[in-house]
Amino acid sequence: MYRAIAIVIASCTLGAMAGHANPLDVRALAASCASCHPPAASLPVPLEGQPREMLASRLHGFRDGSLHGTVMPQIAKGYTIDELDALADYFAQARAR
Amino acid sequence: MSADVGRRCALRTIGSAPLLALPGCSPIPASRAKRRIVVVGGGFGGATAARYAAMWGGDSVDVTLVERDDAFVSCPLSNLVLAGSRTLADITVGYDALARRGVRVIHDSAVAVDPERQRVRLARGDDLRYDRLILSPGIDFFYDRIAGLDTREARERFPHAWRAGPQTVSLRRQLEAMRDGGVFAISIPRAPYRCPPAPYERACQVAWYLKRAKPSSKVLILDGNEDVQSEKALFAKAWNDDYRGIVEYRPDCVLTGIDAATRTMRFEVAEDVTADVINIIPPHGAGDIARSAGVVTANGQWCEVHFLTFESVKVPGIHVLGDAIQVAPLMPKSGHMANQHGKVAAAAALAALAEQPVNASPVLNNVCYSFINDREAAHIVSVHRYDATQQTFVSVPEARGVSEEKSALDGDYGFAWARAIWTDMLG
Repeated sequence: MYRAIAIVIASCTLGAMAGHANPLDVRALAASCASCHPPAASLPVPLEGQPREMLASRLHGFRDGSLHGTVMPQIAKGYTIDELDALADYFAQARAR
Repeated sequence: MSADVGRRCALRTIGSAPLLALPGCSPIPASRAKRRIVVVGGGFGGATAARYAAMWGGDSVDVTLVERDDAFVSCPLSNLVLAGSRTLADITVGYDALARRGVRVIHDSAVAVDPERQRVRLARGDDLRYDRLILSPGIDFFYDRIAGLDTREARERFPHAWRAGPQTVSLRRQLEAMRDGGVFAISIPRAPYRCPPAPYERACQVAWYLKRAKPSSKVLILDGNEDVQSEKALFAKAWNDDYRGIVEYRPDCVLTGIDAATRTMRFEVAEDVTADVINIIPPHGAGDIARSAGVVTANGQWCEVHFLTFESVKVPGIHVLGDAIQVAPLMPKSGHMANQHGKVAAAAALAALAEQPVNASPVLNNVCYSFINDREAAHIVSVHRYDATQQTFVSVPEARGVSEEKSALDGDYGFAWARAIWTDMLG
């Protein structure tokens, strides 16, 4: 019972926020970015708390080739558009720790 | 990761499970209800798994990391220490921050695993009980496959320096002591081995040092494989241009023996080679503790895992990650990849304890920088998505890429990458 309620609460808050089925999946996806963009670090670019539209447009730009870079144009092509949007939502709402 | 809201949700769902398991009982103290995750090995994979298990598990779990060394020494960038443009101190990071982030760090050697009783035996300390075990054992070497490497003295004289640390320093000292006009030989084992581009980066780094300090000297690459295993065009260009007359590459040189008295290397087919400084990277496989746990399943060398969870295909309750695993197709054995494994394994271990489903579609990425000299590097990138039909990770073709040429920008990013990933794993 408690567990069911907890899951519903989790789903409502994060699921609605990210527009993604499972918030833990988005968390896992975001963790894959943290190797180069670790929590609370400034190198090379902090992601937490950045404006959502800026994050989304850059990720989309890397993916569609309109934005140049070193490794990100390749990495972004490995993620779906929905995943990139979920990541933009996630990092925009995350607070730097 | 860093979203507090995400952590709270995870705590709620996971934290409620132990209470449900005891209907009708009065609540037991939280400390006794905690589940135990033990991580063995504090490298790129294990330190990451420990940090993320503690971060995501919060108060629901006790996370213990067993690591034999006092500090982490990074293999990435260690070739620059050989070249003398960086020091060992530059690539060494302590475990203090990890301890402050809720991981209990025990500096000891795990010597045996008892999967039945769910215990890890330590060399000095008491046995550790676990509910989930995460093994990130790195590699150990098959010295017996090379005649003449059977003594400790021989292994120190012909160091692998394939685990960064004392052997990195000792190989550097040998290079410093070598005469101008001497030959440095590096022996590469058959693939798969730890970090595909690293032997070729090492050849560049040693050549960079010799070109400046001892310009009549040579670097001889003796590859146990039929061709360069990673970024061939890039490395070939460096050897033909930057290090022309210094670096020589020879394929199909499978090392079978070393004569210490004459410093002569013997091969399966190729002619004998005599050199002044000899760097032997012996064939290797999963670290020895994996053998004790019974999780070495592929060719007596690597550990097969279920890729959704990194749980051993053989022993339930034990996750294996990093260089020790039998990799998916086109998945490199790299520090970055081990760091990515660590997060999937941490989430899977927590999900198992909470009896929750795991992420059904994990995505991993890999970024490696190879330094051609003291400041210029090149990158290789890939993304690996879990394929439910094949039950393995599949490399996304359009996401694969390498630098067209070395650059100072990639060098800057390479150094930034190292600082970033050390922060990600060690806090």
